[in-house]
Amino acid sequence: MKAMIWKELRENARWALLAGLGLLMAELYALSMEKALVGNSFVAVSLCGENFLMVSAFGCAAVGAVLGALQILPELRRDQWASLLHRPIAREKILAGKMVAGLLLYAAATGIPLLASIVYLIWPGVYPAPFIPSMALPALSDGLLGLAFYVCALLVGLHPGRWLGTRGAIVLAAIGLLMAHLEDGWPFLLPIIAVIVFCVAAWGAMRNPVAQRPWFSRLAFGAAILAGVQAGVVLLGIALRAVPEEALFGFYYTNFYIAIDGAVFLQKQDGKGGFELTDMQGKAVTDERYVGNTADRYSLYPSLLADRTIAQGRRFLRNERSSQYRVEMIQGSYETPELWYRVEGQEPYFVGYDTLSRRPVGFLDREGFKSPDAVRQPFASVPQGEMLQMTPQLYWIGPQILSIDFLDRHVSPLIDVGTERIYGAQKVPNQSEHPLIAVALGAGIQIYDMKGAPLFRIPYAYPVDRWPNVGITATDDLSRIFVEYNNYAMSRDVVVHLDVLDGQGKRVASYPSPRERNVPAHKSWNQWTADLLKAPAPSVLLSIWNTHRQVSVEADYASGIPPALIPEFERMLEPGELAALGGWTLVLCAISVAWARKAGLSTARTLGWVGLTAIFGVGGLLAYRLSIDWPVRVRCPHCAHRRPVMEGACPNCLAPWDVPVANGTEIFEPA
Amino acid sequence: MKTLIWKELRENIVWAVLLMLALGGAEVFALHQQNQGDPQYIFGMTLCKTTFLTTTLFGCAAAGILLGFLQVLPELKRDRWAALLHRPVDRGQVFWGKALAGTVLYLIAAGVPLAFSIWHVARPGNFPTPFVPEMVKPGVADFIGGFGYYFAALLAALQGGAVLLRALPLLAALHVSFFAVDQDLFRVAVEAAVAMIVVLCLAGWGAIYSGETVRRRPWLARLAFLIVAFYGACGIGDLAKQLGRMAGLVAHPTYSYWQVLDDGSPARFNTVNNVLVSVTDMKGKPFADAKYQGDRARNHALGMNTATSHIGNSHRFVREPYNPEYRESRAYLYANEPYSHPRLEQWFHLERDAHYVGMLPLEKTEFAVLGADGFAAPGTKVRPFPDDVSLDQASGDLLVIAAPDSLKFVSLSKREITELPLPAPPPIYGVAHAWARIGNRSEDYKGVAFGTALAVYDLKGQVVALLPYRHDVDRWGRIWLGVLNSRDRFVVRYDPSDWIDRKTRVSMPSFVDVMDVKGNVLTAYTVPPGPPSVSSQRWSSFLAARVQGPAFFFGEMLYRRVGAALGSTRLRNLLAEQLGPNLADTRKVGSVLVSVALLLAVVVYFWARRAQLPARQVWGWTAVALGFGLAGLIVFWLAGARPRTVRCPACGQRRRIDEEVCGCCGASWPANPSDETAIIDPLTEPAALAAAS
Repeated sequence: MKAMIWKELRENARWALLAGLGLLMAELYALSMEKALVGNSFVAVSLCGENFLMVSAFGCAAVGAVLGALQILPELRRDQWASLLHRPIAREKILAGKMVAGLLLYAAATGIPLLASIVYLIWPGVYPAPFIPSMALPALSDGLLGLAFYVCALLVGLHPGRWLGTRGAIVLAAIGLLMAHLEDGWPFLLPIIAVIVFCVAAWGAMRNPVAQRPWFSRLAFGAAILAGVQAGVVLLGIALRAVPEEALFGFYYTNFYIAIDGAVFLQKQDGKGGFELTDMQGKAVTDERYVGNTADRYSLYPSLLADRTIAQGRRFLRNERSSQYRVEMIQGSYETPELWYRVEGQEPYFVGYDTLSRRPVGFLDREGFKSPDAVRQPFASVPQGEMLQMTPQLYWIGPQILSIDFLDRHVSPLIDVGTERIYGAQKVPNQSEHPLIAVALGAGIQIYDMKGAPLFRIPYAYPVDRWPNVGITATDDLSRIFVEYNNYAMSRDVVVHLDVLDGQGKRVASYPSPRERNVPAHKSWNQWTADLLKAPAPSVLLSIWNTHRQVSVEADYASGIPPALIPEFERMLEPGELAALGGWTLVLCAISVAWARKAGLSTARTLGWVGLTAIFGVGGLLAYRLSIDWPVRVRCPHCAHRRPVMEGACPNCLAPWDVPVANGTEIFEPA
Repeated sequence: MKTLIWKELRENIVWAVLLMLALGGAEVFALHQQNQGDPQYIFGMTLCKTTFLTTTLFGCAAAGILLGFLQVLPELKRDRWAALLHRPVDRGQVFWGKALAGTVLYLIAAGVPLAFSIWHVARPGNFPTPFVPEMVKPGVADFIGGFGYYFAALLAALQGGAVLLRALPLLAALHVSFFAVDQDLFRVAVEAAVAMIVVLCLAGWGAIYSGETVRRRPWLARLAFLIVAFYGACGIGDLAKQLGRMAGLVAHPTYSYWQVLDDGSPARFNTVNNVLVSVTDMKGKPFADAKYQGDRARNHALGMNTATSHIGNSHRFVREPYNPEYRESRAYLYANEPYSHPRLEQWFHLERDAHYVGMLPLEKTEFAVLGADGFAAPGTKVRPFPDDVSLDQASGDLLVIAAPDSLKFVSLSKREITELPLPAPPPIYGVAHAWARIGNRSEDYKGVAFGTALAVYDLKGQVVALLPYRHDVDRWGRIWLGVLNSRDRFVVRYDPSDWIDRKTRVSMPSFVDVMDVKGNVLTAYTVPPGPPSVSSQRWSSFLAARVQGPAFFFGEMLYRRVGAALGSTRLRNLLAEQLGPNLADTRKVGSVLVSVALLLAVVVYFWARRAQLPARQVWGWTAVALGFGLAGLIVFWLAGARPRTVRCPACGQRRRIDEEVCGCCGASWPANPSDETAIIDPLTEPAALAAAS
């Protein structure tokens, strides 16, 4: 095998070198482009930047696919394959030799650019953001993804199928894997599973045609085909759903409108995209400030004070691959002299960088602001901050709230809530020159003045384990405070309760949910088609599950499901849609039965096909068709029914094949 | 040739149809893909949307490359090439047969999807934006550019030699794509693409005669190939320039400017590389108030806008209009903010027709038009707004129409037009938007510049203040308006007029007056001119400018001169800028690039001599390097002939093996020594032969 490894290394080293150089240039280019974007708080940085990760994911996949293809495809030509196999070793060893050499080349072609990128980032004065080792995790997962592409390319090369058939399906499986990976779906688990499945299938493909492969290799091959076809179907569904039919603008639910003078109205969208504003008794509002086209200037928007599902919310807003899970910019922009970051993880602290020199200017730890070369004493836990930050910024660590001014290098303890737990803190009204501080605690909201003196407490009026998101706002003169409760982290689309309090925290009004969807959910042809492409069994089971569970659908975001796939999972099917999906599945099952009979498949295989179709729908129907050795059939000269050419007797009339008629050109004597 | 065309069509129609379906699907998807939260279509509309143009740019190129390669590469294998050429037709006819069939296939693959997309967009009811026929321009430019890639792929497949040499046609097409995307004018982009198509086509025609050797091709094809090689070298330069962006800037640009703070006092903001490094008062000292110190001052700078750039027309100054690039939908129409009361509506301004079209975003239908004479029913032809009318959506559904002699506030939702009384004698020179912050919200105002005063209107059309000019507005005619948060104080700033040349302008002071509602000046400041700005450029641009060929550099100047003489304002302005304010830079760059070209010409001269090229070719390549700089050197390196040489046994110098005598000493090749393995007898004298017989 050693000779085999050397042969492969010698033949493919130059391609690996070329690919590695290309990837190195692309990664350094992406990092340099991202350096110009540092300062935009919505942009992730360094190894977790969008551009870098796009290059890394596509680059590793391309390098893997190219190396895998170059190791197999050229040798399939002419007599090269015979020359390859004409060695005194088993075929498995040939494959193993190829894979060992391929993995070495792949590791060099992708690993060296990654290492060079890390050196670029940690070189002093080059990149104005901190680097912590966990930021390399997404790039490492891209490396695994590329490995899956490498093995996939080996399988595609070794399996003698049609490009518009099984080979195409395997390629689609890899594309589906890439899409799921980019959408943050199980970044390490999926590639590892894919590597194992493709490896086992490739091992079988090196040995024999499909029917003669070991059962587990056939199973892996079938899984790859099913994954490919299903990926194609899901991608088609996503593409169909991406053609939107609804309007760009507006809310689809009746909601509260809080006027700047403290009045509360109901805002309802009509069918034409306009709004109707009524008071709580249903009487139309006529005040021009509130009903005109500048109404948003005369309303108050509650700021998110506490969000007990914050993890899900952040996951939704920030991809797992984003650096903002690890290093988040919390102060500054590309126009400011300094940029400050919160470094998360086991040893959290704040660190500041000079925008022009790109070198650290200091950091803030539990002992206060320090110079860059001082010893760090990290905080006990990751400091949590206000949703809407205004200087001085509020951060809390455990029960203590700190007031921090990064420009003045000033930090002071402001509030200590003792044994209670802080769920959130926010200045209110947040842009006022003389705001109060609202702190969400376990049993209520405590209001403090800006010096940290407690003023009054607002007990929660509704169970916060059910309505975990609490928003707060107030009129400029602080005569009215508004607290709203909802269960949706991302927007105010579905507010369920609103309390109005006076300046002393006494409740003066409480409004129940106006939850009412007033724009009918219009379902267009593309949505219908996309729904019919769904896998029937999982869709039905998910619908039943979604019907019975109490948590909001946003919990899906914490489950690791790629966000692009969530529409496939989250929406409960209406009875009519379930009936349509059921009917369509029956049609597909009937097609599979008719097709199986026409091909002369056994009853067991027919049942298997029907079962797969019932579970996966269109995907199951096509995957089974592609993954089996489809019998070639001709018409029987005796009974005229179609019979498989590989069987001696006709399954219908049991007649053997006729002896060919001699015409004098035979080179063998008849037996 | 008819047979050949049918053969090509039959063989490749499947791929063309597949490409058509893929490209068509991608284009329709790109058209319908919506950018959530982009009601003003920052990313473009329909046929000018970024996603659509990305699809057409890359899709047409990919379709062209694939078709070109598929028509040639499979036939280069084994005996298929011989089977192809074994026809009673000239090789050139084989090429033209392939090219004609390929043109039909490309039309199917890329033309049909584009035509369908245009039809889909033009059909009412499909999109919530009006259709302007000129919006097809960028897509058409990409389609033509893709056709260039088709011929580039044909040439690359037919061309023999090293990989980089074969890649030159594709790089030349890439260079044209870079050029077309950067161009402002559709016409120029298409002209460049068509010219490159012709050149690539001719070069491909020559390549089918002799893939390996350029010299055996017809002279026209040889010339075309050299042009392709040159632009291919430019394509390499484009890629290098992109990668060179990594190197960053040559130096940090510095810039200082005056802002007015929210208390009405001017402050100088000093930036380095766009980073605010200091804020100083009129005396050059930092402010005592902490809120105006450092970066915090940015939050306390007053929002001010210019109402006009000059007052009066005694200098016959005409401000150059802003011309968006042909790939931006802004060149054809722009969207006003949508409003939702009493129903969701959005208005679009059509640039060429100079009127508004109202659309219902949900129904995707036109509901009204607005022209100079007012509102009209959808589809009605209306009188366009004159060029000197300023149109500005104030907020919500209010549109301000400022003509030289009238001012109108238009309520778009109510379809009401109100002509406002003018508090000062016309003409109106311009309108500025200003606002005051009140807690969490803002209140809008409009400043209307007359010849003698600036009138401030609220959004109900009431004149809030009339602020007479207190300075010489002929010379300080760039007028800014700001409103202090108290709403009873206004800031008027006077900058030098735009008709004054830039050099004089930057040496003139500005004035800032804080005024009350009656127009009394409460505080007046004279703001000295700031220090000169230092601009910088990227290393990649810096180097690219200095290694370009003198032929390009001086040729471009000549082109601008000729264009200016023929009446092109655009070219005249470009030339004036190059030889006016930027003359020092032009001289510096020119001298460096001539020196670099001379050096490269010397290198090429000795390189060609060493390669044993004939004197004519040596001087020819030297001239190419002198004219085209680094690109000339690359063309010589890749496309220049390299005769094989060995050391001469007589003089020891290198000599060409394809020539009988040594170019240095004139010696012939020596006879091979006989070593008993020769299978042909050595040549003998006739007399000896006769004796032997």
